[in-house]
Formats: sequence, structure tokens, C-alpha cells
Amino acid sequence: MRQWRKGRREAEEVNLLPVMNLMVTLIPFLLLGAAFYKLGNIPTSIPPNVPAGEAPPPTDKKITVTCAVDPDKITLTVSGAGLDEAGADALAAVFPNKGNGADLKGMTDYLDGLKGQYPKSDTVVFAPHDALTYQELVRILDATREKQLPGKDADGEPLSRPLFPVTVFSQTRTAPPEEATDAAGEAGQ
Amino acid sequence: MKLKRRRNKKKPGLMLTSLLDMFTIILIFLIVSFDSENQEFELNTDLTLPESTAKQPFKAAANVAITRNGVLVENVPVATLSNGIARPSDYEARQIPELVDALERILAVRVNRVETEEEASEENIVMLQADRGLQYKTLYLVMRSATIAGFDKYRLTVMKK
Repeated sequence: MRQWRKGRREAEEVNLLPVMNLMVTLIPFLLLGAAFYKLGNIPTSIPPNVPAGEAPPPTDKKITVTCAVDPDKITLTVSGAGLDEAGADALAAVFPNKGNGADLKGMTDYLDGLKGQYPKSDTVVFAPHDALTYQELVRILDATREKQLPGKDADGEPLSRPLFPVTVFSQTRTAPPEEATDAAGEAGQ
Repeated sequence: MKLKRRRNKKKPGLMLTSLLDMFTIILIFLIVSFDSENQEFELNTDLTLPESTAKQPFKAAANVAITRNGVLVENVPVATLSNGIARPSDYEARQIPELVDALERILAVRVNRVETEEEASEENIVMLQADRGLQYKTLYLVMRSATIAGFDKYRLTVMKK
């Protein structure tokens, strides 16, 4: 009976106060350095200023897609050394706006088909109208860079198939005056 | 009666175990989300980044931010914008002269601090932070100014969906 009493007296609680002190110090420090957002990058370029004669000759197995973005439609044209004018015309496509915005799904499906025909191609040249907003530009870039597939990979990221990941920005194309004014007004709000 | 007396002797202690459990969970969450690579990058609070499905991991470079009020290089204002629009003379000249000057100075400093040419080629990259409502003509104007200053590659900073 005495032994049992002794045992109960020895089973005291562990002093957790030093551990709590450590936690209280560590948590504010980590809170300051914590990132509650996830950033990403979209690598892009614009054409370098080189004379036309110095440009490298295009290969016949690659095509370059030019994506002209207008306020009411997106026009895709294709160029490549192995393509004659009739062939390039046959591959061109126009995607009028659907609903509130551009028909990005139709454009992605079409680019997926082009990628199937010319698997080594990876470059798209952008020629947007000058009032296009940055958010809309990024949405169109996403639609040309990869096609989203159903399901997720091992890291929990959505599955996707690369289309034309190399992006080159071309000069701006001035929209008609009344459209440019409207767009500037909307952006200013 | 004896049993009652014994109970009274015991001091009631503060239950720290559940609090400690909570702190441990918070600590693990914070350690996981602590990203030491992003420490040199400062997100500009005057702009809202666009959302994107981009999977490319974030990598810092020369920081150029375009807000509705101006252009900042490494968080220093170098040019003013009026609601995201530059001066008409800048669009005509297809460059912002103050931005070109600032970027040339930045590039000279960045190239001088590296030793090999391979490292130098990594220095002429601009990381662009721009407001989601910014018009393409201003974005292109800034990119073209950067090209004139010697930066020929760009990373558009976006918020992952």
C-alpha cells in the first residue's frame, strides 16, 4: 500500500512552460516570413532588334503561330518554311468572342490539333490590341501554353499537356478609336 | 471522509497540453509555408496580380513593378503613369527614357557582381509585376524600354490559381 502511494506521488506532470515559451517565440517569427500566396512565372520575350538578313532560317518541321487578339475575336495564322501560302491559309482560324469573352476553349482545342501535326513547334507570337488588359492577356497566354486535362498528378497539380510554351510579344495594334476609348474608360474604373 | 481530504490537497494546474497541441500544428504549418527563396522579393501592394495556371516555379530577377500610378524599379519609383497610361510622347518614342536609364544602371551593377559569362546571361532578365487591369500598350512600352536597356527576357509574375 505504501509503495502504491509513493508511485502516485512521483508521477508528476511534465513542465510544459519552457516549450510554450519556445513556441510563442517561434510562431511570430515564422508568421513574419510565411507566404500565404503562391507565385508563378510566365517566361516571355520580345523580338530583338536585328536586321532581317541575320534572322536564323526557319526549319521545315516547325511552325510559328501568330495570335492576333482583337476586341471581338482572336485570329490564328501559321507560318513556317515547309508551308506554302495555300497551306498556311488552310491552317489559319478565327475565333469570335463567345458570351463575355474570347473563345479560349475553341482556340486551345485547335492549337492542340496543330501541336499534334507539328509536335516540335513551341512558339506563339502575340499581337494583341493595345487596350487588352493584363489579366485577359494572361488568360489567353494560359490557353496557348497548355491544355488542361481532367485529373491531378502525384503532387496534386492539375494535369495538362504543353502546347506552345514559348511566347514572343509583338508590337501593339491600335484598335478603332471608339473601341480604344471604351476600353480605356473601363480599365480606369 | 479520508478520500475527500486527499482530494482537497491536490492543486488544480493549468491544462497546457491542448494548447501545446494547437501550437505544434500551427508551427508545422508555418514551417511548411516558410519560403526562404522569396525573401528577397517584395510584392508591391499597390497592384493586383493576375491569376494564372502557370506551373513554372517562381524565380526572382530584376524587379520592375507597374502600378496605375507609376513604374518602380527595385521598389524605387522612376516614372509616373496616369491611371496606367504613360505620357503620349513615350508611346511615340516607344520607350520611357527614365526607365531605360534606371534599368541600364541596374544591369551594370548586376553584371559587375557576377564572374562568368554564363552567370551574366542570367542577369538580363526582368521580372514584371503588373496590375491585372493594365493595358497591353503600357506593358509593351515597359518591355521595350527594358530591351533597349539590355534586358531581353521577361518573367511575368502571376498568382497561381
